[in-house]
Formats: sequence, structure tokens, C-alpha cells
Amino acid sequence: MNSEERLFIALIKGNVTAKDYENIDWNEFIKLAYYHRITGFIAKKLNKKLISEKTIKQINKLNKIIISKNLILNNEMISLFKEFKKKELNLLQ
Amino acid sequence: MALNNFIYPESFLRVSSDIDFLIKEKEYSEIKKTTEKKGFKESNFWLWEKQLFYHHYPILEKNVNGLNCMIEPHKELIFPVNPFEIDLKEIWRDRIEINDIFIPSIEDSLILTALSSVYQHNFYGMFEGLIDAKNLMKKNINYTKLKEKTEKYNVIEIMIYFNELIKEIFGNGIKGIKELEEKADKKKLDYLKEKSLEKIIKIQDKKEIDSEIIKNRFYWAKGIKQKTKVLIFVLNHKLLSAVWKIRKRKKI
Repeated sequence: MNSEERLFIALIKGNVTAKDYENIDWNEFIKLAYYHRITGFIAKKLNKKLISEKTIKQINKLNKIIISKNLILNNEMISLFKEFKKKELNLLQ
Repeated sequence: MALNNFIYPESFLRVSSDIDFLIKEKEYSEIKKTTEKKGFKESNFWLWEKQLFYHHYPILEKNVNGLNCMIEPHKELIFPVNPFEIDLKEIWRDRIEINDIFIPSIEDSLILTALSSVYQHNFYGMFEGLIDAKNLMKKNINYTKLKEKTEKYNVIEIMIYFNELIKEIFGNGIKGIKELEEKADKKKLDYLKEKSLEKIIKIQDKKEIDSEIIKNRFYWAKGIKQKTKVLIFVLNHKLLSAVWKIRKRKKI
């Protein structure tokens, strides 16, 4: 495993140390979190004191996009499912 | 998205790309009408019409504040063939309701999460699946039911492998799954175990993912009939993708 993958796993396992933050290519790390579809989860676990301002901004920007998309999809889904329920239509989400 | 709200304390943490739901064939036209009233329109109809063994009805789309909202109305969960014995009727029967939305029972959700990560998407988004499973494990699971369903749906090897990854990452596995090991097909289990944590964490490009998905579908397909169906599905998909690209290029 490379250092980005090691940090990624340590964050998920919850046994991360300051050493895990060394020699990280943050662009690669963000790509990895996005690829595994857990950017928000990973961002929450990161120790922001050990990351550059630029990386934090980059992660926040990506998260804003994910959150906006989630909110829009959520609103649409709730409104649709209310209609489906009124009409007694069966759906499984 | 419903799973989002149910298993995540902060649902915004999860990446959502579209709204997927499973519908009953006889209700499709009414569901379509309802979505159209809400501004959704059918997309890629031409492409969908030419799909063989399609697993969902045409995608429905709507533009909201510049975002293309997509709905995938599924008619099947496992496609193009179902080498497992996933019982859709049982999934419908055991469903639970969360805020007006029906989702599969926790036991079915766990099995479907494992199948989606290991089989359907061939490890793409695997860590999302593992975190989903960890959150589902905090719910009130009926472990006897889970074991029964694992056997009935013929997903023993998939669940054992998925459970070992959960244990490797989070320390604790799903209660009772290891006990099924004596009933597992050793060859299938060894095939899965080749995919270690070190391997599945690596980023693969789209071509690699696609070719792995094909290999995986072939491996699990049962008998000549299912393998042929997979082959036709793959060839049909490749042909349509190529035509789609040419049409797109011409438009540009």
C-alpha cells in the first residue's frame, strides 16, 4: 500500500497517527476518497491541523458539491415518494 | 437515498449520484405519469429500446438548479442474469417503512450491500459498502433470519468474504456468518479471497473496471445458458456504447 492508501485505511479504522499524514500526495488522496465514494466520511475524520489550507479548501469545495447534490436529490425523492404513497404505488428504495 | 437517511446520522456524508428504486412492472406506467407531473422526462429512450435484457426502465431526468437529477426505475436487482437465488418476492414482503419510503429489511439490506459491492460493481465503491454495512450492524439485526436468507439466496461465499473484510477493517464481523463456512464452496471462496484489501483499495480506470465486471459476471454465471446471456449482454452493450459515442461526436 502507498502512503495515501495507508492514511485512508487508518482513517476508516480510526487508528490514525500523525505519522500517517507524512508524504501524502493530497490530490491522489482526494481522488482515492472520491473513487471509493466516501469523501464526506473521510473529510470528517481528517485532522485539519495536519493539512495545508489549500487542501482543506479543495476538500470543502468537493464536499459542498456533494452536499448540494444530496439535498436536491433528497428533496426530489421526498416529494415523489409522497405522491407515490397517495396513489398507493409500491416502490422499494 | 432512503438508506442514506436511515443509516447515516448525517446523510450528507454519503455520495449520491441518482435516485434508484425497484418497481413492480404493472405499476410502471402510473409511476412514470407521476414523475412526469413532477417535471421528469424519459431520456436515452433510443438507447434503452435497443438494450437486451434491460434491468431498468428508461432513465427519467429533470434539471434542478443546473443539476441533472436522474431516476433509475429498476425492474431487477441483479442483472443480466441472477446466478444467486435472490427472492424479490421475499424482499418486497419483508420491506420496512422509513418516513413514507419503503426500503428492504435490515437483513436484506446487508445482503444486497454485499452483493452490490462484491458482484454487481466488482469492488468499485467497496468502502462505501463496508461503511454502510458497519452502520447497518448498529441496527436491530435478526441474525437467525440473516443466516437463513444468506443460505436461501445462495450468497454464502459472498457474505463470508464481505464479513472478513468488515472484520479486517472494523474488528468485529457480522454475528453467525463465519459459522456458514462449512457450507461454502471452497473454490468460490478462494476466488473471492484473491481480492485482498491491498488489491481492492487501488484506483482502477473505467476500462479495467469494465473488464473486471465482465470477468466476474462470467465467473458467477451458472451453466451455458447464463454465460451466453452474459456474453450477448456485453456485446450488445459494447455495440450500443460505440454507436452512442459516434452519434455524440457527430452532434458536436
